[in-house]
Amino acid sequence: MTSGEQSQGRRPQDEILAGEYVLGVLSLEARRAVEQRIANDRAFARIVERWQADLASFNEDYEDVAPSQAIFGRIETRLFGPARVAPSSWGLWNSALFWRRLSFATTAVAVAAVVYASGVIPRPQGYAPLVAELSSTDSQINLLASYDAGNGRLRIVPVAAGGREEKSLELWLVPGSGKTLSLGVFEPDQTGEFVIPADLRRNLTEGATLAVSLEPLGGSPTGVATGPVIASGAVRRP
Amino acid sequence: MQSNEIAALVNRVAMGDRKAFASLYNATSSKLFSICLRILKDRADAEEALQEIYVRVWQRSRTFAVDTGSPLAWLAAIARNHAIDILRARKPVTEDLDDAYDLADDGTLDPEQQVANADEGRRIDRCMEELDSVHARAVRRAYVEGLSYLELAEELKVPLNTVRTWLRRSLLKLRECMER
Repeated sequence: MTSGEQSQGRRPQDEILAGEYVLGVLSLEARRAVEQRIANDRAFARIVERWQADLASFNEDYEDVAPSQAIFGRIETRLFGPARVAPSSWGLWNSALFWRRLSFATTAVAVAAVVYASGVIPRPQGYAPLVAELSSTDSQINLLASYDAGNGRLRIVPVAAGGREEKSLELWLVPGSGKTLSLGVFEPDQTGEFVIPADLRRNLTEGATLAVSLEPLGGSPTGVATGPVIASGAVRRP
Repeated sequence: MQSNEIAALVNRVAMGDRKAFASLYNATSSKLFSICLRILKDRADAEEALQEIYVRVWQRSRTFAVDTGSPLAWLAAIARNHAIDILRARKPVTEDLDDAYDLADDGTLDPEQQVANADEGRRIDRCMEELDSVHARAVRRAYVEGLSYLELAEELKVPLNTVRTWLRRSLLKLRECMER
């Protein structure tokens, strides 16, 4: 793995500061300053991560102590609200931000399509589709739109932002109970359609969860999600 | 519970799975509560902190990637960071980032080596043994109890600057030993 140009020859001061942060001896102010640096300096963040991994064996000193029974209920209330019967409303399907982005993306493509249709730009020869990669600065997903002028079809497939040659987006099914199942990888040149194998279909019901994670090219090598989960949502009737 | 089982739970939590969140809480809350209690030394404060910690676990689970390391270490870091923040807010210590790091010369260490994850625990134990035993105990107590330099100085009955120098020198020695 490359260490990046920033970390060529680490300063001992950085090692000490990162170590002090992980030990916890710094003041609140200094801790905030270090966290600021972690957010902005990848090489320094790696030094902190390394101390965290190195010193983690000290965690053995913490012997289990059970908290009061009521605590988990309070955590759930804070996260999901007081109504315990309400289905989980987290994730992609209910994310206003996602839908705003998607509708923005769709609008952008629509504008592009109108521009072509109006003849401002000459129509391309043959059947080569028009493509657009729709991105935003803070998202790990780009939307790859391709438009076939021959039949008027526009399709949108999510792709990993940054390096499509390095990463894949994998779709997962989390059944109400039981193991998480891979439904496959989004292929940029496909339609974005997944055919669910017959034996998995009984798992794709209301209450299950669909999620997309960022994985090495071609999908998770282990059969479980190894990368960060980018979006998820419960399956329900609209 | 095995590390890979906890990792699988964290991944399911990242996918919004509330049952997995409950299982993760059952499997790990006594450890994280112990961290809060040891650092905050007050049961009510520790229970308050534990709630905030699991809210963060839920929110940050998406950033957990299996190959970045042990899920328990990841959870413990969230817990320790929050507990130490509360402790420092409760009892401010003056500690200046611009303090002279007098023991460190202007030289640089070798470019970062990639360290294999599996052996780190054992390697740190071996490297701790190379430190002066008083210094090693100070390092470990600072970590486990979240002691500030001032508290360490009071407990060890040595001047603040001395304890700071011990700790910083110990950190450098540890890093040097870990890279051997």
